Amino acid sequence: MEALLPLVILSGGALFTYLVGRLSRSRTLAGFVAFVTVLGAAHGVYQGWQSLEDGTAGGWPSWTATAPLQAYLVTNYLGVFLAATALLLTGLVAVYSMRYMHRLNIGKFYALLLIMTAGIVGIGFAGDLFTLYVLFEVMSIASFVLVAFEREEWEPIEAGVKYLVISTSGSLLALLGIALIYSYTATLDLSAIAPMLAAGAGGPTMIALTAMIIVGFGVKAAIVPMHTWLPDAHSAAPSGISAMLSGIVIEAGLIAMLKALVAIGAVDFGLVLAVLAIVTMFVGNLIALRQDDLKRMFAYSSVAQMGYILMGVGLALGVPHLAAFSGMRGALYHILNHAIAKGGAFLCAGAFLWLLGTRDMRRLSGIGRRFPVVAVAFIIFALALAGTPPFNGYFSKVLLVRAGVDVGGWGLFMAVMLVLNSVISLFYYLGAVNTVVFGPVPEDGPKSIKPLPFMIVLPIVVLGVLAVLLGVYPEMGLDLVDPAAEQVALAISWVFR
Amino acid sequence: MPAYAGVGIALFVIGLYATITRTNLLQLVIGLEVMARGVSLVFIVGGALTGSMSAAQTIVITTILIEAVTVAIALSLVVAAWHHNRSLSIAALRRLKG
Repeated sequence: MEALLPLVILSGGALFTYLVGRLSRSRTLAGFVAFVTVLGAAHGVYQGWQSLEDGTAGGWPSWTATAPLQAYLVTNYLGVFLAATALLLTGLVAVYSMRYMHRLNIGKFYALLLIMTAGIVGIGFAGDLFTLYVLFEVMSIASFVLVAFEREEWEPIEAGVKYLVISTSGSLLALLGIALIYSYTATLDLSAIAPMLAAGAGGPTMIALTAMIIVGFGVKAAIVPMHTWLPDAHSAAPSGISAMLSGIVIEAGLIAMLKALVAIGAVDFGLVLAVLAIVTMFVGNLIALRQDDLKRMFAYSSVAQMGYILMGVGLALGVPHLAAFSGMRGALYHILNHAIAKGGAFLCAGAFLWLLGTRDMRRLSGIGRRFPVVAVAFIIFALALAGTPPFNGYFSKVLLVRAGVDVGGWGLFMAVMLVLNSVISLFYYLGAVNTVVFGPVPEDGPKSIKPLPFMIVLPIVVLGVLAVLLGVYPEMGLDLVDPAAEQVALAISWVFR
Repeated sequence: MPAYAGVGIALFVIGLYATITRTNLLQLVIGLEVMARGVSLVFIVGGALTGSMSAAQTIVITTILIEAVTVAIALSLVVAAWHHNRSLSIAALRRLKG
């Protein structure tokens, strides 16, 4: 029951927000209703957490678990972790968009934002493969519309078409894998599939199924070479949505992939994921080096960060007896830290875009000096993303490196690759800071600049404070991450027995 | 099992081939639809073989619903693309680079 509550609140809130936005045409009011909805959903997730601590948590609805179609939601720590991260970011984006978005269609914007969040929350709580797919599509469909939200311009249209076609092809491939699993096992229950497929482990059927799941969900997770839609979509979307897409949507794709892989007991695929992780890091970082467009640079850096997260997953699946827990812990903690830092970075980029109407770093040169609060936050986010010590990205990278070192062998190689990539990424993060904050103001730039609304600065400050807080007191985040990592590690070790 | 499901998989591959090779946006969308129908067929075959047809039907109807929404959004984007440059060719989708 607890697993359903946030989904009901979010979808009901989406309907209500749409009506409020439609009738009042007030951005503040619609944003406020959306924010309250997120708070309500957060309360629902908190109740789910409490029931997990009390040991009373279970699946809902219980009667479908025995029906032919085992479709249900399960309250679990991984879902609580994903939901908490998603709701944190959604709440701040709802506040940010009160001033950032245009008054037109504001009800639709907030309704879609809440539906997208409902999809993400549902991915975490899904108890069977088909529910996982349906909620994955709910998230995807909402994000297609949000990417192409400002359709009077060309860029969002082109990005939206590419995103829709590539992403739908991917999720249909994953669904084909799910259909084949269903015709082999007659069940889609996440916990019941692995034993039934165990007889064919390592065989060609198993390899084909695993490949379909990795490629299918990997499209959404932006694993190279399935990342081509990401830079267009993330830079063309409204900035609040870019923050959501980079901060949590692609990570939700990875978690969907992880849940499906663990469910089918995909043995010996950790090394494949590890190789993909290294390629993803390098491609993301090297292309990000030569971007002039601030949001496009952050989009490519998201590809690289997905490589770091995928490295943790690869280690956990590849060497389950050594790294199942430590790998997952690093990966999940990096998801949380990346959501905070990259979300904040996109919100800063959006603030500059709102002020000057451009994302070109040469035109944005020196803008940070006029808005010291945003500039300080921007520097914090850039350093956190690069993994510099007192900020949050440092600690999760240390966890990932330690997982690799503990494994030794190819794990050690991966740890070295991660450190090397962090150094590469420092170049473009510091380059961006150098231009946007310390660069010379262009002579033909606007003489007077409007002040930034409080509602745009507030979410940036909150994320900046969180980035510092989690960097100085990393154990605060571990309270949320550790149970989730433990749960996944348990599932992995059970499969790989 | 594989022989029956083969038809569904073949349909999926045909749809995928169409989405990769066609240059008209509408044909891309039709390719996506063909892929979805292939997947539905595999579900139906799976339901028939495992004796759980009711579950397979539930799944297929839900899949059709999801596809209808996706295609509606895809077509609205195609219409918007048409209004922008009076062309349905994917050659127009080459402006974003880097």
